[in-house]
Amino acid sequence: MPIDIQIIDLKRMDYRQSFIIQEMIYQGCDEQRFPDSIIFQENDPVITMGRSSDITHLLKSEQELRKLGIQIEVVDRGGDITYHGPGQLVVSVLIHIRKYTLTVHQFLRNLEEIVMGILRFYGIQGQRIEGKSGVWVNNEKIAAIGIGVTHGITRHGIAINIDPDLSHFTYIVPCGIMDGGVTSFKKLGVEVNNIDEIKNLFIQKFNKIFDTAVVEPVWKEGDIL
Amino acid sequence: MRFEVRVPLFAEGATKIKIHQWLFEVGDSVKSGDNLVEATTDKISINIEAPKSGFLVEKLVEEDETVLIDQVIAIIADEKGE
Repeated sequence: MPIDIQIIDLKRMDYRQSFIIQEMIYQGCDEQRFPDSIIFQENDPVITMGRSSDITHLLKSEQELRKLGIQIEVVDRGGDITYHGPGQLVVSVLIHIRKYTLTVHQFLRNLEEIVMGILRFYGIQGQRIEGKSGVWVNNEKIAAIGIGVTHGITRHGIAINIDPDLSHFTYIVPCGIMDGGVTSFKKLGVEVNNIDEIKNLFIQKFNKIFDTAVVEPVWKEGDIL
Repeated sequence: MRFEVRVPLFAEGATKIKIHQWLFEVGDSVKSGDNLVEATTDKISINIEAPKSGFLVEKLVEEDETVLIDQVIAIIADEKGE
């Protein structure tokens, strides 16, 4: 029997605001008011630091970054420093992990598998690299991953570079990895005309791999604050 | 009664799980479901919760220590002195 999942598309939103919404939806999931949820968003330029972040991986001062229109936020996910911005699709996945009899490790690998399937659809060969999370193309990262688990419910997820400003990644050591660059669909010569196509592919592949079925969303946009 | 708090099985496969931060002190009263401690791996942060209400009477691991799946990391008891 498939597990219900609601899809929430925040489109383009300031990171802080979308974080508050994610927390609200997490709360709803925890209190069983909401089904498991997938949240899509594109953020205004922001550098986020996870629990394991190394401050030396931030290569510009906060003032310099603010001048460039980039905010800095500390968040409760695993993983080192990363960048989000327009042209990058961030997919947060909030599921009760025990319902799926999954380990967190398998959960991460499943998210990577979904993104590799999307890349294949566009003729891009993505791969995993032993010892590094995320999805890579020719030793450059196209999708970064980082999650948190509270009360057995996952938060955060995977960020897919479609056509972000890649120069913004030069202000950090992404995920603390020194020996690998960052890439995007655009850098690989693939134009994505409609980001909704990628969202639909993500949902299709997610339903297949996690055995979920999309239901009418319980959370509505008016419920923001 | 004493209850063990263990690293959850769903964390299996995660490598190098490290105790990041205790959120309660020994002697504190805790409710079932309270996040007792944050653990991290390179890509995952996990809040480990109290399986029962009671008092946190023992912490068996320190912050920055590496732990294994199903390892007992704390003891909760009905009474403070247990």
